[in-house]
Amino acid sequence: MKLLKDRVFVIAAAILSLHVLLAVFGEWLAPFPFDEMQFMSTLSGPDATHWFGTDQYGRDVFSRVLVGGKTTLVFGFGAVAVCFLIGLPVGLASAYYGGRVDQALMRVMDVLMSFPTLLLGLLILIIAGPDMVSLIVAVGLVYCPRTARIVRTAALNVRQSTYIEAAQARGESGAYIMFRELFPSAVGPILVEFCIRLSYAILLGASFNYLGLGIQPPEADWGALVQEARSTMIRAPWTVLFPILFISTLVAPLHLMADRIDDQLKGGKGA
Amino acid sequence: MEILKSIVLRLGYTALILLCVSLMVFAVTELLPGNVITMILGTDATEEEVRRLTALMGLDLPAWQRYLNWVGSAVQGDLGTSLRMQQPISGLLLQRMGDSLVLASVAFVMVAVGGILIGLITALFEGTRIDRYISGIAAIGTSLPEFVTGTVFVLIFAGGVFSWFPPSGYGGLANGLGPALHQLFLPALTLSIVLMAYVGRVTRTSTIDALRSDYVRTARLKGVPEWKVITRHVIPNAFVPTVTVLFMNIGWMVGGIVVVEAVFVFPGIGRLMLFAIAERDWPLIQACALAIAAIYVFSNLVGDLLALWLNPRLRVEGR
Repeated sequence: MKLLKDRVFVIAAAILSLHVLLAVFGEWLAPFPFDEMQFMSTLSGPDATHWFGTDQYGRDVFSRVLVGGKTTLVFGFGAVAVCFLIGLPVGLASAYYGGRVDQALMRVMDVLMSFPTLLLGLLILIIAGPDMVSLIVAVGLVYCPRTARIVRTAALNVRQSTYIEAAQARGESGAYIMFRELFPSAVGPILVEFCIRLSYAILLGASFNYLGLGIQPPEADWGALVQEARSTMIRAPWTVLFPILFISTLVAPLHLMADRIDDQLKGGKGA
Repeated sequence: MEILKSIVLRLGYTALILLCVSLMVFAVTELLPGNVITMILGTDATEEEVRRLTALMGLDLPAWQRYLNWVGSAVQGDLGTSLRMQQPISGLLLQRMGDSLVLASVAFVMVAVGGILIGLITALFEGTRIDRYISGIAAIGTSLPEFVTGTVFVLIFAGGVFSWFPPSGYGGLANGLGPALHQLFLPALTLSIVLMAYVGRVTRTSTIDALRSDYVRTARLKGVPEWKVITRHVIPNAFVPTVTVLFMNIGWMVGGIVVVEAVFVFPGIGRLMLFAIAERDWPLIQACALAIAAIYVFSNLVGDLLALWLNPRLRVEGR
């Protein structure tokens, strides 16, 4: 794997792994319960007890950021799972069957895409009510047409290969060819799409939470933390700085990794 | 008449999309939890009152008939009455849309100027430290959501470090252009960052391509001065993709504007929509969603047509 020799890719992957570890062990690592209010020490700056300071209710920002990370990653991966659950079969079928099937599937995706992403998500959240599952479904549905298109393009590139013809000659089923032949050959671009989609899913989900339309208190992801700290951020910048730092360092590596994988696929040496 | 055919096709497609959009918006409010009648009258209304209001609001009609009524009056400019604000939605919506349009226009100018400058500078200094730093910052810019960039701008420029700009609010153009622009600067900048970085990257690539082209080499060999090579040969050719991307992404701002308006407490259509959602004011939700979607669809249409006009190669494929 050339990627493992790419310093940028390795660092990005390391930061991403660190985020995943922090999310998994966050609740255990957190020095305080994330919703414990200490009215004796509200809006106190970072110190030895409260590494990231406290918010307006005296809640430990470090603990809240750690627990919020888990929430953020759960809806990020959840939404991407929904995205691929729909986008992968649709994209593969479009590429494999072509013709009318392709036309019909892509027109439906076009209609979904002709909505502004945020508005479509808002409408879904209005119907489904604000909670984690709705958030995952809303973000997943909003982005699935884009995933479907990328998968379709990637699969089309290998559609005409002889081993597809061979599989057809063997009499394999459409599903077998799509998932066992087309998918593995197109996995590179799909992996790039996965990284990009995960970053956008996290950003869109966090934006909904910022707007107060996703998960509800006492649960809080990084978007909700920034929202909660709106009124206090000038007096106590640490209440917003740490959530912002965490979301930025989670999303940036995803973009970098996607770029690097893409460069490798194109056989270039990278910019 | 290939071009005319693709324009007509595109117009038909837009009409179809608008139809789908209106159906979806209507369906959403149909599925909205919470009975509207109990919301207006409260839970202790008599059965007689409930029946009268249901008939008055036309809620006893079948769904398809209500949809047609709704679309029919919407086309004539009547979007109903807001449940919470007790006033006709059309006037309210127009005013808020006007303010959002001003915000989006300022952001668009920023995207155009900023994106082109970023692209030109990074291309002319390709491979140097200037290129790497600016490209790096632009890459970060594309990967951050509006609520993060907006919050960071407030922290730096509106109270945290400097107090150059107000952190929120907008008084409209009535107070003069100067104060309005002062209030618009940070929200517009926030709205423009992602697209600015994107336009910058596109301009960088196309400028580098133009710089390496044969016609630029010929011009240089002829002894044309470098500034003239850039203004006469590089820029006109490099800007076709830039302008195309610029216009094709106007619609993109429509989504971002909702978050930006929330961050900066800007009284535009996005905040009106959020208000409507929070208050479960369904005629207002319908109207806002329809307006936002229509603006999006139409700006995409304008963008596509402009792209078609600018780039003849797109005309062959059609739609």
